Amino acid sequence: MPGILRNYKAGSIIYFIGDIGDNIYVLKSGAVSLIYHSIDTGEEVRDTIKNGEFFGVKSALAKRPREETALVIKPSQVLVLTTAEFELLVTKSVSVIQNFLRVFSNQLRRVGKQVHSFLDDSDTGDNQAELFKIGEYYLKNHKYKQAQYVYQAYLRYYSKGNFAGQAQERINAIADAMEGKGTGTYATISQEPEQEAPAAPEIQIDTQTTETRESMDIASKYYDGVSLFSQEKYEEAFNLFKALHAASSADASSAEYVPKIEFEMGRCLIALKRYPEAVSIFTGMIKKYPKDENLKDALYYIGIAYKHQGDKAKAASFFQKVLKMLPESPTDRKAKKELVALGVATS
Amino acid sequence: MFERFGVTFEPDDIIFCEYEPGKDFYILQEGRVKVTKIVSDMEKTLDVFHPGDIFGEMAIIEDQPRSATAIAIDKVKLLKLNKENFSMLLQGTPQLAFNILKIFSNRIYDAKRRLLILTLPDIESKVCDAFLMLAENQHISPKSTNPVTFDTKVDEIAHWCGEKVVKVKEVLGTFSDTGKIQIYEDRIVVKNLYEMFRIVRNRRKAQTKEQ
Repeated sequence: MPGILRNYKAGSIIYFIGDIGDNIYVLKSGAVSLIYHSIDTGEEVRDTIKNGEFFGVKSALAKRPREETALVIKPSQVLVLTTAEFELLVTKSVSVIQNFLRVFSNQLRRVGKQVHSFLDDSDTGDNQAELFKIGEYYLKNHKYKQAQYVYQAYLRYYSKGNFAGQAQERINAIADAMEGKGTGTYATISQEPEQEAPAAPEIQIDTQTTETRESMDIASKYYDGVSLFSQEKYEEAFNLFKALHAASSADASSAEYVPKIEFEMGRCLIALKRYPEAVSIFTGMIKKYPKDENLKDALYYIGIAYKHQGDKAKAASFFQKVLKMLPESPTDRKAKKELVALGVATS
Repeated sequence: MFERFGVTFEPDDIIFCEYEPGKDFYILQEGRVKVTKIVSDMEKTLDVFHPGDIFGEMAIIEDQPRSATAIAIDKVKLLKLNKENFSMLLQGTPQLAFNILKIFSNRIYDAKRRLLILTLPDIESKVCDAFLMLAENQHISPKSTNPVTFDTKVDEIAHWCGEKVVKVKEVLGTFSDTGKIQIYEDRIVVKNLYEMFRIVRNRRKAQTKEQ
């Protein structure tokens, strides 16, 4: 353990509020209190440091004045680290940093809430209107590329917002303006609306909160499904994936999960011996996502489905497709084994 | 890592826009990114980020919209991350975790400093404290008795005070009339910062006595 051990008598001060220092402390034994005044009530607060706890971290890392006075209550032994020693120590164990991150983000969230509680009456942030206004600023200054981004962002988040009609008009006007100029820059920009504009009315995300929650939900439920599958609870896993498929197809933010979910649905159907359904879902997946990472395995499973349905020729053709496809993977060996079992020679 | 989380932007592309909801944060790999805010109908550059810098990290913490706009200066390569893949990423990159810890430490100080302005009882002292905060950010002593120039505008001061622009304009008008400050199109000069410091200190003392 780096650093130096220091002994303090009861009543001594390790640092005063307002001091600037780059040391970080760990209480080894004894008792230390951190004393400060609460910002909103002005009352004195005393936090007791437990043995093994760090203190003085935030001020040392931010190179800012200490926020509290560290007063020794009982004779104490304290490990004193420089910021550099602290860095060396904690980068060896990410979990320590993660704990600090958790504590600091809670503090930050709490202070953020306090700040916003003061702003509620005066600074009524109408984010929708403000976002639109930024688009107007860029448009007025002929920064079309930026204006276009902002209007598209507006429509992405507030497709039914007060300014949605105007935002769409502006996007069209910008497209015309860009065409009129016919500059090279515009050629690249005008491709964007097709990919980014929320043309499909089903992609309506009312608030950012629901979007985050839903996509997080889909991610965690997806892993629940994978876990059910590994527990051989195929029926339950299939039903969960089916529900997730409906949810993620309707939500642009979780689109990346759609092929994965389809693949897992197919695997469940194979396990449930529902072969024709499995073939149809894998085939659909391959058509829609010909570059998906699970493509090779999907082909393999189609072969397996045909094998169980007694269609040896089709099964063999799919196993051969697996072998022809690069890059090589562990699936090749499985496909080879199946071909041998079917009595088909492989090279 | 770039294959999984990498995104690229062309010069002048907006990465995210002020007031836009957002859940991603970014680690700059190549090129430069500027952070701007539109203040009094002018786009003001607040900061420029270089490779290795992290930005947009408040999205990990709170569901507030972006507080500024991030725009690519050069052709830019970024890692785009969110709450979900953040902890996974930390496992493999302790140095990144440590850098984020430092950023959070600073953000807590900034947020608390801002809160300190907002807890003052009247607009005059809030305006004074906003100038003091801006001075601290520039490492200027609050006890300075020489004129200090702030690259700021009425809107921005109003923002820090959490007050309506018209009200703050009034206060700044009185300050200007009494010679405390000079207001220019793009800057405000404070004649005697120490005087503002004393106003804020007395107001705070009065506040703690009441409680």
